Amino acid sequence: MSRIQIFLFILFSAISLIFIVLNKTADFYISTHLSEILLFPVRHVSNFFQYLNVSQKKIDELETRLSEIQIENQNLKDSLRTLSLPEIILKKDLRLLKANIIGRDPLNFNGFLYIDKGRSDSLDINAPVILQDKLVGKIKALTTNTGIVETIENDGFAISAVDTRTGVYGVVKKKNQLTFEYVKVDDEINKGDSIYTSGLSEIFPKGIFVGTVAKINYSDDLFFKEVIITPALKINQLNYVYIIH
Amino acid sequence: MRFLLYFILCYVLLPVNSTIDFISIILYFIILNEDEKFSIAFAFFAGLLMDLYLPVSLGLNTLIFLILGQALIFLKKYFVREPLTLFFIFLAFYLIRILLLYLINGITFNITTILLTVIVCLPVYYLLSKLCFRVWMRI
Repeated sequence: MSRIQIFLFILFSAISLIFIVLNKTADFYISTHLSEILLFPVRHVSNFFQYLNVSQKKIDELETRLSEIQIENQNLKDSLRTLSLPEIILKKDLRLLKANIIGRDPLNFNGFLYIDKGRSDSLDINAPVILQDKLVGKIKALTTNTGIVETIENDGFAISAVDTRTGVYGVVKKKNQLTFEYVKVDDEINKGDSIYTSGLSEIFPKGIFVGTVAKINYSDDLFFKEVIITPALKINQLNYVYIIH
Repeated sequence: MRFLLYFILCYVLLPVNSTIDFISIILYFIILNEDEKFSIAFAFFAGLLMDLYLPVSLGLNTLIFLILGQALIFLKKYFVREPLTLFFIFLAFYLIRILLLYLINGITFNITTILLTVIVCLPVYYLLSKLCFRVWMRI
């Protein structure tokens, strides 16, 4: 055992003993100052880990919030799907105005509907009228507080449409029956196909459900076949409609 | 270079020392393998760091490490460096430290900490030996 070792041992032991017997104030004073010097690297590392911990907590909070928003978003989407509004309306953010049916034309019961909205509600002639994603018709006439809707059941009503399965374009017209016209003999179209508005119109946006193919007749016409459509809505059962404006 | 490693390890492992007492293992390794003067100085430094990081009574860990370190320095030439001996001497060193802390200041240790420290003491010892001297065991 060297003298230096003995000296070091006695010196360090003496310092330790002094530390132990110090009163609390002096102890606190020395501890604080020594900590600042000796524990500087540890504090740096601790702060870094604390920062990581806080960041992780923040990430967890944000992830939780994101999950909540995702669920909320999904619920809202479901709600919209329940309303079954045409996608085009949702995408273009078009406004819808609900109107109650206040009367019908006694001579053409399903052809014209009277509604409780008019010019004072910023409506225009030819504004499309729908219910859910289904076509009802268009505004034919307006007064200040009421309007008349011409429905797809009115003779002469015509609209550009498309078979969404095959992509065949045509015009839906109401004569005696609702027909999908200008479908060529060799065009593929089957019973049960869904017919939607094509968007090739200044009045009706794309994607409104018009009806389904009910029957296909091959007449004497060399070029076109007669396609009968069942309307998407029963006009005589409506109580209210939505106007796109 | 290895002296620097001891200090770095001391600082790095200080925050987890309340879970596994790595500093006692490092000190034990240093006392058995390094110069006696450095061992005494390191015992003081390690004890002081522990006193400052988890303050209970300033100087207590320092004094216990110094006394136990000095005792080990006296004894180390009398025992062989084989695993079982090393393990039991560390066990005695560590338990005496705990006992002294308890008797002097009433500090109690978590049993999990004691068990974990005892379990990892030999692996850490060998790892340090490999890191510092490139052999698993110095005889």
